Amino acid sequence: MRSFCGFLGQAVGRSRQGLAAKLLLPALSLSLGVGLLLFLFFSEKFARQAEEDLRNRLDSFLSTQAAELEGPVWEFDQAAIDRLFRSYALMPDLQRVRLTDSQGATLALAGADPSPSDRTFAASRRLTRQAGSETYNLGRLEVVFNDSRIRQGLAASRKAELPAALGLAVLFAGVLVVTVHWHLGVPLRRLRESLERNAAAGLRSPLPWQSRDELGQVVDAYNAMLAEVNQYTGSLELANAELQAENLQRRLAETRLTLFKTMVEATDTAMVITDRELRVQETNAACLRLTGFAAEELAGRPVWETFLFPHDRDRMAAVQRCLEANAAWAGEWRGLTSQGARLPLRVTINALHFSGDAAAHHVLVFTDISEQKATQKLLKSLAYSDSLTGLPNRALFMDRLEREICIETRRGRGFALLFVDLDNFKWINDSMSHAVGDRVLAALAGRMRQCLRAEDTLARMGGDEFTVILRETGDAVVVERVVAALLARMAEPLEVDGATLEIGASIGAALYPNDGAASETLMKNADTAMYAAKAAGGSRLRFFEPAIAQKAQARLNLRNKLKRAIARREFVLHFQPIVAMATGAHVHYEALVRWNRPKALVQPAQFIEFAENEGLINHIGRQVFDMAFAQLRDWAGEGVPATMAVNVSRSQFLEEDFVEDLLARATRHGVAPSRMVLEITESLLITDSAAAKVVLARLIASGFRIAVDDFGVGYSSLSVLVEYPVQIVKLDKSLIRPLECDPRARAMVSGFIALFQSLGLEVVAEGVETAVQHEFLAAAGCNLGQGWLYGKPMPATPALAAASAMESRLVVSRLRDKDRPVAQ
Amino acid sequence: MRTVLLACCCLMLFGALTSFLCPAQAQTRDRLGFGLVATSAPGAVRDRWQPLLDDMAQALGLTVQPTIYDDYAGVIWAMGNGDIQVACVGNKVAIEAVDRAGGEVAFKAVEADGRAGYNSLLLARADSGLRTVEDMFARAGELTYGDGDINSTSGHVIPGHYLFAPRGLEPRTVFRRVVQNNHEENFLGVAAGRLDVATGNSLNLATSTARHPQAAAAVKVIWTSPLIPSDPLVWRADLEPARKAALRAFLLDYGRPGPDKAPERLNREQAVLRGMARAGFQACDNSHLLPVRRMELVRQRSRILADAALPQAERLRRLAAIDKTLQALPEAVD
Repeated sequence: MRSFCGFLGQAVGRSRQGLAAKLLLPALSLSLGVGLLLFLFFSEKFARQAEEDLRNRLDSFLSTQAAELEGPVWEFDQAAIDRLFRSYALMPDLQRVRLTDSQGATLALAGADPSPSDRTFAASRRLTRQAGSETYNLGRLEVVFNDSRIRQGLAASRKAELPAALGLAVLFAGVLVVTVHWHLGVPLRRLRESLERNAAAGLRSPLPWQSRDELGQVVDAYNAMLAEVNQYTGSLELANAELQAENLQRRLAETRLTLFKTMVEATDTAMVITDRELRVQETNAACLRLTGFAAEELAGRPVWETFLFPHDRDRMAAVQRCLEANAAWAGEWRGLTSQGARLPLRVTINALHFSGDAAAHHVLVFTDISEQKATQKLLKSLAYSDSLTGLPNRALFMDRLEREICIETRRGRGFALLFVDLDNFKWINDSMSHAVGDRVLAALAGRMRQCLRAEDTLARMGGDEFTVILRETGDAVVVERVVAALLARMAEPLEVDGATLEIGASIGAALYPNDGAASETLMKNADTAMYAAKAAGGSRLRFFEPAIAQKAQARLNLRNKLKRAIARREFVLHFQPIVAMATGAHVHYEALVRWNRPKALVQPAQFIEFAENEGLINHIGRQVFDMAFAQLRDWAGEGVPATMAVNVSRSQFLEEDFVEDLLARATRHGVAPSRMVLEITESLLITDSAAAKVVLARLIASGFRIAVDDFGVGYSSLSVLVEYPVQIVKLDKSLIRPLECDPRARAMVSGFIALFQSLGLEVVAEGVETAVQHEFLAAAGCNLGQGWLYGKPMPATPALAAASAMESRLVVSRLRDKDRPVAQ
Repeated sequence: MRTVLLACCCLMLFGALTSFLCPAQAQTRDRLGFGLVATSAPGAVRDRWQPLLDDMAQALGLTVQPTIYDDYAGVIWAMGNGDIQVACVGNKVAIEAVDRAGGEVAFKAVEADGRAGYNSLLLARADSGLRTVEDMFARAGELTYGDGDINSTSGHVIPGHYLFAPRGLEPRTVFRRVVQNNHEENFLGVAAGRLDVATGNSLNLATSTARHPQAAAAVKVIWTSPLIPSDPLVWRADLEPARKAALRAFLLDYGRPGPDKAPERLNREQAVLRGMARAGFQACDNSHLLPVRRMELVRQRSRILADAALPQAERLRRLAAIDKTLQALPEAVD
C-alpha cells in the first residue's frame, strides 16, 4: 500500500511532464466522478424502490386487513376487531390505523399521529358486504405508514456501501495506475534509458522487446536505425582502428630502435659497423672504452690501421676471403689500444644484408678476452698443482716421473724416489684443527722445498704424503745425506697458533732402476719402504729392500685372514676367573678372545693390535659382545650368578653408535646390562676425555659397570678415577709381579688399594701367580684377584668346573697360613 | 330528433338518480321488507313463515317481501339500511338492531307450549359418553365444538354467559377446534359425528327433530339453559305509525279468535302458527331485551377480565364503560 502511494505520489509529482500522469489524472478523476454519480444514482434508486415497496406493502396490508376486518365489523364483533388492532402494533412501518363505521365514528384505532419529520403514506378502503341483494357499507379502514424504518435502512446501507464504493474506486485507480506504469511508464523508461545509453559512443546495442504493440513498432524502428548507425560507425571505427594499430606499430618500432640503440651503447661488448672494406662507420661506447680511441679518430679508417693489429698479412687476407665466401668470420685477434697496448680480442665479423641486397656493411663484435686467457692459464696450473702447498700434484708428479724414467732410461744415470709421510699428522689434525694441519703442511712443504734443488720435483700426493724425485741421484749415500738434511730441517720446532710442534717424518726411498723399472713399481716400493720406516718408529729413512716387501706381504696376508675369520666367526671366548680374595669364590670371569684357527688357537696379542691398526677391531668386538651375552644367557639358564668382564678397545668405544649397538645386543640376548663389566684402558680416558666422558655416562646410566684396566702402566692418573664414575680398578700385573721382592712395590700397591677403597672402588689385582702375592694382597685388603694362581683362561665349561677345585685350593692355602705369619 | 334524444337521456338519468337516491320511500310505500334468519335451511324457514307473511300482505294490503339472511348480522345491517322494516330475530340480534339499526322491539313470540321463552341447549352424540358439562370441559382439549353465530342468543350468548364466562374460558381457547354453524347444521353435525358438542335451542331442536327424526335419535342434550325470553319481533322505529298500527293489529289478532273472525280462518291461522312452533304474538317493547342485555354485558365484562393481552388502562376504561351501562339499565319488567 505504501509503495502504491509512493508510486501515485511519484506519478503526481511528475505530473508536469509525465505521460503516465497526464493519462492518469483525467482517468482517475473521471473514474472517481463516475463512481460517485453511480453511487448517488443507485442510492436514489434504492430509496425509490424502498418507497415503492412501502406503498405496495401499504396496499397489501390495507387489502388483507380490510378483508380480515370485514367479518368482525359485519358481526359487530368488537373483541375480534380489538384483537386484530392489537396485532397491528407489531406491524413495522405502521404509523396509524383507524377503523370507522359508515357514519364516520371510530370503531378502533392503533398507532399514533405521525411526527412532522416523518414522511407518511396513507391509504384507505371502504369495507363492504353483500347480503341478500344489497351491498352494505360497513365502514372505512385508514392506514398510514411512515418511512422512518426504510430511511434508517437506507442510511445504514449507505454507510456500508459508501466505503465499499470508495474502496472499489481506489482499487480501480490502483489497477489503472499499475497498468499504465507497467505498460507505458516502464517501457518508455526502458526506451529512454536505451536512447541515453546509445547516445554515447561505442557499440549501440539494440533494445530487446517482446510486445508487438505501438511501442513495440517504435522500438523496432529504433532498432533498425541503430543497426544502420552501427554499420556506419563500424566501418569508420575499423579504419580508425587500423590507423591506430599502424601508429602503435610505428611507435613500437621506434621504441625498439631506441632500446636497441641503448642496448648497443650499454653493452660491454664492443661493436663496430664498417663498410665492405672494413672502414669504420659506427662505433659503440664499449668499443671506444676498450680501444681508447675517440669516435672521430676511428671514423672512416680501416680497422687494420686502428684497433686490430695488422701483424699477419696472410691471416688478414684469409679473413677477407672468409668474409667474401661466408659473409662471416670469427676468431681471436690481437687488439691495439690508442696507447699502443695490446690485448687479446675475440672478434666476430658478420656481413649485414638489408632486404636481399649484397652486403654493404659489416658488423664487428669483439670483446677483451685477456681475463679468459689468464683464467685458462690458472686452470692449467691448478690442474697440475696442489692448491694448499703450490707443489705439483699427483698427476704432474706422475708425468714428471714417467718423463724422468724416459730420460734416465736413455742416459743411464738413475734417480731416487722418496716417499715422505709425516708422523702423527693425524693426531695434529684431530686434536688441534684442520686449519692448523693445513698450515703445518704448507710450512713443511716450504721447508722441504728449501732443502731440494730446483731440478728436483717435490709433489704432494694427498693428505700428509709427499713424494720427491731426486734427479741424477742413484747413489744411496747421497740420498741418505740429502734425506738427513731434510729430516733435520723438518724436525725443527714449528710455531703454529702459539703451539710449538715438532714433527717428524718417515721416509721410504726407492732407486731407479734397481728398485723398479716402472713408475708404479717404484711408487709401491718407496711406499713399502716408508711403511717400514714408520713401523720402525718414524723420523727415519728406509731404503727399499725385498725383505720389507715380504713383511708387507705378510701383513697383507694376515689382514685377509682376519677378514675371513671375521666373516666365518672364527673367534671364541675363553674365560679367566676373577675371585673374591676373602672367600675364593668365582665372582667374575674376564672374557678373553681367541682366534680359533684351523691349526692353532691364536692369542689376542698376535692379532688384536694388528686388527686395531687395520680398523678391523670393531667387527671382532661386536662378535665378542655377542658371544659374551650368549654365554651370560646360558649361565643364567644354568643358575650361575657370575658376571662377565669384556675388554673394549679405544676405537670401539669411540664408535658413534657404540652404546645403542651394545644395548640392542643385550636386549636381543635378554641379558641385564648390570651383569657385564666393560674394561677400558686408562689411556682412553685421558686422550679422548670429552667424548669418553659422555659415552661412560650413558653406559653407566644403562646399567653397565665400568672397570679401568691395566692401571699402573700408563699415566696412573688418580684424577681420572676421581673424575669418571668408574666402579672397578684393575691393577696391572706389572705392579703385582715385583711384590715378592720389592718393598717399594708393596708399599705402592697397598697404598693404591687403601686409596681406591676409600674412593669406594672395587680393586682387582691382575696377574696374581703366587701364594705370596695372594697373601700380601689379601692382607692389604684387595677385594678381587685374577691370575694363573686362580685359574687360566679356558672355555666356559671347564672354567665353571675348575671353580670348585679352585676353592679347595684356597682352603689349603689358608690352612698353611695358620702355620706361618703373613709375609710383609 | 336530437332534442328528443337528449331529453330521453336526461329522463333516464333523472330516473336512475331518483331511484338511487330514495329507494326506501319508493319501496316502503307499498312493500314491507321482512327479515328472517336462516336458523335452519333457508327454504325451510321460508316455508314456515310464508303463510303468515302472505296473510300479513293480504291484511295490510301491500307486498311483504321476506328476506332470509344467512347470519344474524345481515338482519341488523338490512334493517339499518332500510332494506327491511320488520324482522323476527333472537334477543341478541334485537339488541344490536335496537342499538345500531334504529330498530324497536314491538312484539314477542308466544311459544307453542305457552311458555314465555325457550332454552339454550348443548347437544352431544348419544354414544359419545358425554353426559354433563363437566364431562365436556374435562375432555375439551380433544373435542370439536360447534358454536353458533356470535349474534345468536341461544347459540352463542347464553352458553357463553352460563358456561364459559363464569369459568373464565373462551371456546376458542378451550376446545381442540371451534366451528360456527346455524342451529340445524350444528344438530346435524353432532348427529353425523363431525362435531362432538354443539349449541342449539329448544325451538330448533323441536323443528330439526321433526325434520330429521333419525338424526335426532343420535343426539342427546347434555345441558339446558335457564329460560330465555322469547324471540322478539323488531320493526324500524321510524316505520309509519299507520303501518305500525296495521301491523300491530294484524299480528296481535293472528291466531286469536275474534268476534268477526271466521272459524276456518282461525284454524288456518293457528295451523300456520303451529308450523312455526308458535302460539302467537304479544306486544312488548325494548325492555324485553333487558335480561339478555344484562347477560351480554356481564359476559363482555368477564371476557375483558379474562383478556390477558389487553393493556390495563384500556381494560379499566372498558370495564368502567360496561359497569356504567349496566348501572344505567333499568330493572327488567318481568
